[in-house]
Amino acid sequence: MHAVIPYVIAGLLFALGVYGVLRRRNAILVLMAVELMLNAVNLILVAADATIKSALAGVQPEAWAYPVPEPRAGAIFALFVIVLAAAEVGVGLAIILQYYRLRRDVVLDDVALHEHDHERVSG
Amino acid sequence: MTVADALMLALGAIAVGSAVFVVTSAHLVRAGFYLVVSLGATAGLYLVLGAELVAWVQILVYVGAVVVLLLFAVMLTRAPIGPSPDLDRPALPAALVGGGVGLGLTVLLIDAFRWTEFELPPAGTGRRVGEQIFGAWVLPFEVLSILLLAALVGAIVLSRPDIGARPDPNAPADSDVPPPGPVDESDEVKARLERIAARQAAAQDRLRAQRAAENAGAPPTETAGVKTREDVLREQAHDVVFRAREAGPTLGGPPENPETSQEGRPRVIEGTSHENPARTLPTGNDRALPRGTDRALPRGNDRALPASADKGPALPKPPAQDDEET
Amino acid sequence: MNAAVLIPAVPLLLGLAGLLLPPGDDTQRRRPAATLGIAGAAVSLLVTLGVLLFATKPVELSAHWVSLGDIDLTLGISVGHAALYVALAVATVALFVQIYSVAYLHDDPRYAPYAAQISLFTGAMLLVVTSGDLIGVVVGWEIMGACSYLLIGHDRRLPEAPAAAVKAFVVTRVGDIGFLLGVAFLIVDAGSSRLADVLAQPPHTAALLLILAGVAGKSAQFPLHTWLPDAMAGPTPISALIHAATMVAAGVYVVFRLYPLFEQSPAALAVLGVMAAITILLGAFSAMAQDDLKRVLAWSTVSQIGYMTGALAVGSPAAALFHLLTHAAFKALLFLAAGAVIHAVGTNYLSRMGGLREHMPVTFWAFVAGLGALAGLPPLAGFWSKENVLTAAAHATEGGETAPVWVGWVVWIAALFAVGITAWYATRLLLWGFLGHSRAHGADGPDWEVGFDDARYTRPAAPHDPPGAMRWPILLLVIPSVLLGLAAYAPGFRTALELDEPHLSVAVVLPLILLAAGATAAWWLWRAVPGVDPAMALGRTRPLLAAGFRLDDIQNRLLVRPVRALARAVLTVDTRVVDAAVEGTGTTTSRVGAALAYAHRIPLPAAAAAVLAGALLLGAVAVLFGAAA
Repeated sequence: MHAVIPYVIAGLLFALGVYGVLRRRNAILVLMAVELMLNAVNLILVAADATIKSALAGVQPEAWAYPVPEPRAGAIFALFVIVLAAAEVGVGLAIILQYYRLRRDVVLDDVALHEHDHERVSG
Repeated sequence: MTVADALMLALGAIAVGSAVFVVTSAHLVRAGFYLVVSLGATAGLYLVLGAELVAWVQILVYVGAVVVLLLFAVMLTRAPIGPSPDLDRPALPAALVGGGVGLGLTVLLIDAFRWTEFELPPAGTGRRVGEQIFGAWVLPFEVLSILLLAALVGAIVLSRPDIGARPDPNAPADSDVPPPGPVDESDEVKARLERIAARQAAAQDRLRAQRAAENAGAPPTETAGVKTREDVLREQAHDVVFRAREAGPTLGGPPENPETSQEGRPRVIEGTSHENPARTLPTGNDRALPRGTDRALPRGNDRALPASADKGPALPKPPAQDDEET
Repeated sequence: MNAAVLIPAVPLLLGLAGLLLPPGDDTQRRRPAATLGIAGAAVSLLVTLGVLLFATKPVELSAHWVSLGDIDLTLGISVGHAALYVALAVATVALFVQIYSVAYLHDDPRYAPYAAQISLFTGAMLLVVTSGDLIGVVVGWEIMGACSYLLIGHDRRLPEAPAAAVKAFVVTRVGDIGFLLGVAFLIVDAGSSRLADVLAQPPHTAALLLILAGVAGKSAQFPLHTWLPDAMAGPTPISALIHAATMVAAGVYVVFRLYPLFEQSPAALAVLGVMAAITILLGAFSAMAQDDLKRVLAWSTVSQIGYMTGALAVGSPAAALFHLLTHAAFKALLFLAAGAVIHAVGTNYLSRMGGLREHMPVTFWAFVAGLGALAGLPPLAGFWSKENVLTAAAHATEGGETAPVWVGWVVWIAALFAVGITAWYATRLLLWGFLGHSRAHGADGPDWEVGFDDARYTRPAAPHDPPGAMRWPILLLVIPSVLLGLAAYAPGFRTALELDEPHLSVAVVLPLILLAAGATAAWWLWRAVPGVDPAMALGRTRPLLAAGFRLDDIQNRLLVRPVRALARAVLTVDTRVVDAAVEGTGTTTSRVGAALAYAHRIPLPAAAAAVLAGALLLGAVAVLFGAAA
């Protein structure tokens, strides 16, 4: 297995995410691009998990570096990131929907940061 | 070049290719579906790299939940069907930064790993991952669970406007008015509903004219009776469409039907200018419609359109408008 | 607790209470103010008399106040017989002035604060007189300065009063800085502020010279005398009390109290003597050419205080104190009588007077007594005290005193010469002001209104003697002016002042000849050219003398303008540099803040692009330079 393949794939995915975040006007599409970036990071974590262990063969392990005999930390990190992404999407979409209710729009360019009147929703 | 390499190259091409579509597609929905493809291909990459559990979780959580959520958001924000021309902003800065990131990462990673061959690790099993999560990584796991709970509560609070809302200082003191429902109508929807109503009215008029032509020789009393029945039918149809109709003589007064008024009650948004156009909207609509369709519109028109409806007892409708309608 | 404490305390407290009274024009409001003022002075007078009669030995009271390091500050009273005589004079004049003011300021709406300030002043002066402690002296000294400032500026309608008040305050303050430093010097030297401890310590000449600066400021001695003639803008009773009888004599009194120290320093006495000689002649010459009645008296005050300091310089504090007492009597009399004249004719200017004798005989005779005492006509009070000064100066010319012999010569010659000049201007004042024909209606017709407006009397058809409340103080003051000199024959008084028994020898003849010459010259001038001011004979020197040798201009050129320029420069530096730095910090911060706020509010996408581009840049930098390292 050539490790460079997943790494480069992850790099390209990340770059596409960056491009999407900057290019897109619609908040939902921006979220999608963010998902792409997270996914790229996940891919790097998993690939590192698969490659670095074999690269480290023969290196005397330090006690603090290997808390458990069989490290699969990359995969676990990837799982954590997935959970984080899920949480992020949940809250982010809630914000987007709330904003849509206020403005009938989800265009990020129009989000007014300089208005001093606080918009509140009341019964 | 092994099988794994070939698989990874193929899956990577799919992932990157569909990711390109995600960030360039002019259709919101299609972008979502391309995202599904990209995420699925990445899951395949995980499988090849021996992270079996991660792959399945990716399918479950990302493809199954996150993307569905995104698509729901697309739907709830009334994204148009078909391409949207205004999704993107100028490409140059995004292309510069994105290209720079991509180029930089690629060069860095290629320079770091060259064409080094690694031995593929044995496929990880769920058992091993579970042992570690609940062994070495149990504390982050718990923290994550708290984070998830917080996100859950936050999402609920954000999407429920009645939670944490302060009472409107300008509103009258009738605090026993129940909170508004989640239904909300945009101007677009209102216009659409009005178009439907106008179309139906036009169809009724055509039907009426046809009937009149057929019964040219019939006694006039029958015609009058037919018309009355048609009116009744039409009003029933409007009731179905608008779900809210004011009963005749108390037009413009406070709502008699509590259910209707509850459903029709709009949210009051403080500090925004939304309430003003909403308030002035009904008269404008009524005026814009041709005179012949006046009867076709339900009398409780402005009540049926929630955003344009009453502002509670504090803002009674101008009575002149009602007189003209009836 | 001793009754002597009451001497300064009662007028001080009553004055403070009087300041709380509302000002007003009506009788109900004036009565409590007048009562408080007169009561304060009267109680002081009675207590002083009581202590003087019944106390067998000097009263000494001292209470420890605070210790600063190894310096003990105390508050105390130290009343010997000399201090009691001075206090008696102060209280008497204060009482007379209070009574006199009731009539003199009968329609002044601000009478209540005026009376209270006089009370406060009286208390402060009595505190200086009776204090057994340098701290008390300084406190009284400063309160006197403040009251002097307030009372000079009492009449706000006068254009020159505020400027005169500020001038008096600033000029005396220049001296007071020296006084404060000198007092601090003495206290630190002695380790205690008690007068007895301070006197026990051998002094530094520097400390004494600093004290002399304060004395020159307060007592209007040569370099710092310029404020006193201008201070005549105050109401006339104030001139009588503060600027003739008491406050200006406070400097002399302080030197008298500290005389054991001055006795050890020939340098300080020499400075004092030169200062005195210049002041004597300066005041006398300037008094010759004045047209303003009060200014004549003011310059004569300058001159007479020069006699006192001269007596101190030649080693005779007793003569100085004696002259202080007689001067207080006859100068208060003169000023009160001048107030009566001003009251009657509505002007200060001698050129508008004349022929007042038949209209106001009481005032005229009071003036005769006062001017005679001033000139030193035997057997009036001034003769004896001035004779004492001259004798002391003549004695100093023979050597054997602390002061150098030449100082004795300088003071003696100046004093002797000034006797003649004093006689000249006293005679001129009397003849020109009271005899001859009335010049009340000048060339400009009867509508003139010149001079001080502090009483705003409607000018009567003919001048007349003042009402009783003003007449009686004048009449009562005639008595000491005439007879106080004979007190030198009273043994109790003499021992109290440590005065020598007067012995009239041949030396008396010389000043008497000069006196007669001066008076005759003035009379001859007045007689030879009727209706013309005898001062016209001074010719071209008259404007110079009238302007007090133009010392004001010199002071203005040399001191006031450079100081003002310096102040402006400092102000410019303050606004352009200090303020600009402070405000510049603020404006810069707020501008940077505004710029940052603007940057903070750029649209979200631009912000995201900036953040990501920054991250890319940082990554590139890290890779390039990290790899290079």
